[in-house]
Amino acid sequence: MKDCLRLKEHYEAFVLGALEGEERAELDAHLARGCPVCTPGVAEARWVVAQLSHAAPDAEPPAALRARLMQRVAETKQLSVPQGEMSEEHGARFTIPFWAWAAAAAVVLFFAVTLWQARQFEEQLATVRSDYKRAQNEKDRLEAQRREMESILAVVAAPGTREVRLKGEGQSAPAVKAYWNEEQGVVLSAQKMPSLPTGRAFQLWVVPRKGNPLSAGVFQPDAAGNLLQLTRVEGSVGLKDAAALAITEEPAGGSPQPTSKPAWVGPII
Amino acid sequence: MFLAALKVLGGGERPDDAALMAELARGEQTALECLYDRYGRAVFSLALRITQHSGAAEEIVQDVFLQLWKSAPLYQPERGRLEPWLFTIARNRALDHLRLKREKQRRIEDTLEIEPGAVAVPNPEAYVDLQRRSEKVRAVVNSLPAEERRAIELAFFEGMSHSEVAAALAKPLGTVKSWIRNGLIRLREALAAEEMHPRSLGEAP
Ligand SMILES: [Zn+2]
Repeated sequence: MKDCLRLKEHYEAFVLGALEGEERAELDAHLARGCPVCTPGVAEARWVVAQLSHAAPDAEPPAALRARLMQRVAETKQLSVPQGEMSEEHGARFTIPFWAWAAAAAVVLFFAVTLWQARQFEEQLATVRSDYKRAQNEKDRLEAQRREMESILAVVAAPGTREVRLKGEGQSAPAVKAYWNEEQGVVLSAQKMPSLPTGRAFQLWVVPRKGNPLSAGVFQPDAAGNLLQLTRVEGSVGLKDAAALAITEEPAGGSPQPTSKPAWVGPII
Repeated sequence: MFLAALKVLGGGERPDDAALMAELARGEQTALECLYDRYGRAVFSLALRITQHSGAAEEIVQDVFLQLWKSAPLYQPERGRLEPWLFTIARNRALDHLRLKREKQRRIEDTLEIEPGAVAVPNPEAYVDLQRRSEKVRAVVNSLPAEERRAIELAFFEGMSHSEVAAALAKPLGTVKSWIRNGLIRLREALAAEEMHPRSLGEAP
């Protein structure tokens, strides 16, 4: 037990999660063997470290939180104690050493837990983690969407923006509206766009009065066929040099020059 | 029924955590309300300090207490006390939140705002012992030398490792290690001196 004397000085850092490298690995391994000295020592350190929580500035939770929690509680079933698993005689109990508390296993070892429940807890923890991630991603997505909407609106409303109507080939093709602003780009708007085969996309072209078409971006309508997108014209062609806007179907990454017949064309008058 | 049982426990005396956990294990929702009134504020304060985001802190509080509710029938008093469990779980989740946020490498503006909480109301269930201990912890932490306190705060509230703290404070690793350890020993001794430590209360840790 002479190791214990040395390891004692790491208890606090260990439960704090600040201990690293070999020191951490050594204490981990030592506790895994169920050291009768260090196990209660670490438990005590855990209590002390948890007390640091009181050093957080005092903040009052919103009153609605309590009501919301109790609502959730009313809707949530408690875990049931499996028959015959609570007593030590029934061998199949799964225990995680006390020292593992700080990790995900925290839930597990505070309660009497079977292997099955341990797995459930882990899953719940994983769900919570991914919920956070999802919520964060969703938030970022909405934020990006909002920013895009703002720039779209800005283009449409900007002085000097020209509206161009592109007519589709065939009766069923919907009209596509383009709002072209020389500084800010082209906003495309349409509903009920036809769906594209996988690996294909639409590409917008500026057809100049002289020379080859210039790409003005690749786009795809959403699953419902709605299109609202801001694209940029490559090169420096202005409204006065352009004869028309055209849309072709191209490979998903776009093409340097159109490879198919235009599906929509709109003259710039 | 539960409230009746509480009254029987002694005029005005509040049931201890173990009694509440036993009620909770029997599916008494009022026991969870009592535990929330006792610890909810401290758990919220901790989660808010770490995440700096009241929405996230609320979610963590709800999550921790919901987990407590679900797991109560499996509670084993000999495995440890409730309070450090609540704090440990809340801290882990709050640090998880923080790490996810840091992965993003940017802070969305509103995450920096701490919305004001509801108007403070006197909490009838407030645990006098808990309040006293909480004040003591704050006093001890505030009495630490500034750098020592900062090192502990970075490790506890920001989830930094020894070497991360050392880098953040531009101090040698060994210095940081002893600062953290000394501070925590000071805290333990202060709590023991006031008989606020579990050992001094004759409980098993
Ligand atoms: Zn040992």
